[in-house]
Amino acid sequence: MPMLFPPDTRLPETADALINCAISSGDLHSAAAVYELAEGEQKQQLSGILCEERRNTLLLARWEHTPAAVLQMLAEIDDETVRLRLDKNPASRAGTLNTIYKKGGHDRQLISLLTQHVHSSSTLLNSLAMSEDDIPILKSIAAHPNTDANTLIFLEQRYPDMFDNELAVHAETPPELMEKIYQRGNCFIRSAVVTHIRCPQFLLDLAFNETDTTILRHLAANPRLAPEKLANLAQHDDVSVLRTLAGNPSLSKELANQMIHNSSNSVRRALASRTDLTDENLQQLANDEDHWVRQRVARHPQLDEMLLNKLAQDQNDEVRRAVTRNPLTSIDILRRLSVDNSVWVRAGVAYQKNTPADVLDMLSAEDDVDVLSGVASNTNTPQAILIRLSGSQQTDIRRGVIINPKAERDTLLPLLEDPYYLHRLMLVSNPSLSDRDRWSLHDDPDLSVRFMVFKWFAQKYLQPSLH
Amino acid sequence: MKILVAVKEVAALDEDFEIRDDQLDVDEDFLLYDLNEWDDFSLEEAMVIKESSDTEVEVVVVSVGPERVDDVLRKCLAKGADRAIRVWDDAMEGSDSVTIGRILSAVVEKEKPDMVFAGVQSSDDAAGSTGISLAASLNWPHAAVVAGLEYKPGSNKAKITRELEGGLSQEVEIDCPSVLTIQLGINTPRYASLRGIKQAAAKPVDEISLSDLGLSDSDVGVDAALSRVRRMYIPEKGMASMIEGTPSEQAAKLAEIIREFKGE
Repeated sequence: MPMLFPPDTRLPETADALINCAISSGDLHSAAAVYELAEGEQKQQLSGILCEERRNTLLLARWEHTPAAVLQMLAEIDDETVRLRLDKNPASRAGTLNTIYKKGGHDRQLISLLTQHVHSSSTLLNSLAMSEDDIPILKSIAAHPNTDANTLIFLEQRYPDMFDNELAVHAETPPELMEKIYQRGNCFIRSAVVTHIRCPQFLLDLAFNETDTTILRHLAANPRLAPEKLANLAQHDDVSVLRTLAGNPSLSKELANQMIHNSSNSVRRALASRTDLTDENLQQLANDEDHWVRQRVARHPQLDEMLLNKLAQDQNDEVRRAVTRNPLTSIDILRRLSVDNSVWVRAGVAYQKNTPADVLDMLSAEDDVDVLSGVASNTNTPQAILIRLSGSQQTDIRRGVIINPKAERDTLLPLLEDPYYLHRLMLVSNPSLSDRDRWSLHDDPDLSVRFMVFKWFAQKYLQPSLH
Repeated sequence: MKILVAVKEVAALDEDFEIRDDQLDVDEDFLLYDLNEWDDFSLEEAMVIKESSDTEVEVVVVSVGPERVDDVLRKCLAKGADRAIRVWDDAMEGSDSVTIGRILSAVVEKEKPDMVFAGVQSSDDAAGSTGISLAASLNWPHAAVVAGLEYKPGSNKAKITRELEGGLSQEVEIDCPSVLTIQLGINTPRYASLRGIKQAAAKPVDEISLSDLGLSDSDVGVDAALSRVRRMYIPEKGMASMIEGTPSEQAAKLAEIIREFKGE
């Protein structure tokens, strides 16, 4: 890599100095990072760097980290391939997409992509719905989450039946349209309608009389279903209906008690995942023959010490591991599980936020990467151990130290030279490091690290309150 | 003791690319260059031998290509290679893998390594023939798709494991010096240290010309190649059917297709 910055480049103290540093380097990614911050002549100079070669323009137009302001500037360039890439880039904002439409609106591929882009505005989508005749394009508009209710009504009036699949699941579909769709739809469309958050109550009542299990399965998930209807569905002989019902937040305690004896593992697993179980329910499910049921119980947020103790001695690793991840698990249990035969369980202890320092110290002597990664990321781990782990040959362990919010500056400093570029990139925004520390990465050989350094400082000047 | 590692700068295709006007290649604006993935494993294998040896081992990387290839050679230097050689002359433009093998064999004659490693194939051309052409040109023993290697520097034999079709492995003893084409997964390539990268930026890359190798224009390039690209194009796409319906209907249809595929 040719040298982009003079060896004595100091930390820029002002926004102006930061921009000038990016300009004088001629580095594409540093220039992109500070573009939004610049104005006037400096902005012109940065544009010159960004657009000097078509190859670079193409690269920035497709890069998902290219700042929105740069993408907006690129949209003004008269290059169809660049526009196509901007249209596919998830970072392109509504304004950029509007510019693309204005400049290349005749291109079918561009329009098709605009109707699928997450940032297309409801105004643009409405305008396309009015002007387009192409069914796949209109279908994309009907499926787009930013399409508003009026546009959906318009599309349905224009092509009745054609977009029922999309309308049945669209969050903005008005209730009156849902009724129409339900009446003429197949079992899947009816299923989607009864799951919809805005489904009118009378349609739920209507669906209750259906015999199709797909519809009933979806209906059973709806928390707005009346208690007597839930009770009725609890008598159904289809497991998929019962499984969905077991997860319904409106299920009464009586029904939960009744379903706890169901012979299907999947029904009992769904029940075990509920947070409103009684102590008696939990006691019963903790003795379930299916270990995935017991595992779900072990993760329960209101488990008492006695049950946690019992599940900590379960013969299945997954159950004991779930105990280690439960925030209610006591230090005594964690101590016991820290010498468990299973590495998977010991790793769970290493990740637990309640695990005390002396246990983490003991676990740090292990050689398993999962255990050590847990120790490295645990906020209770003593600094001396973090320093030792920061020198590990294993990437995951060093990353554990980097993401540990308690890792101090002196612990992190050697990691600024980590061979893995992603680690250096993560350190740029680490609050334990000083500006001078992060600036030491401004001439990093990796383009994404350089970009992140300049972007961090640019954001500091754009939004000083956040830094 | 010396190991020569032949590496290649490969071109990855960026999306929405355009073919050149002469229809022989992709427009260079749409290409992203990097070290061939297989060669990263070849270099690592050489580095592992170097680092575990009692005797001094020199790892030399060589590539055929224009000045921009220095970037991948510096990447190799950053990972620990001792020297880098780049061979180029405009007359080499259009050389095929057999011709490249001939050029590399001239480098081998000059450097006199004890072993030569190359990647099984390059990710862009995927011919899988450069390493083997090099061995043929040298008249050296060779083994392809090497997934395991036991070799002590200075030894006149190496034990290798070759990866075959159908999950089979073949253990082979090979005389040395030899040319081995190294398969992905034989080791875990290292990341270059930051210090290594910075030091590599200052290290020289030896540039070698045709005449340095005792070759002439007629030995290389399009005219000497045994194969030539006639046209590069995007074939017509096959039909794919979209599964229509609500998510639930799509899931039901997908389950039906899977059941049908399984013959249920």
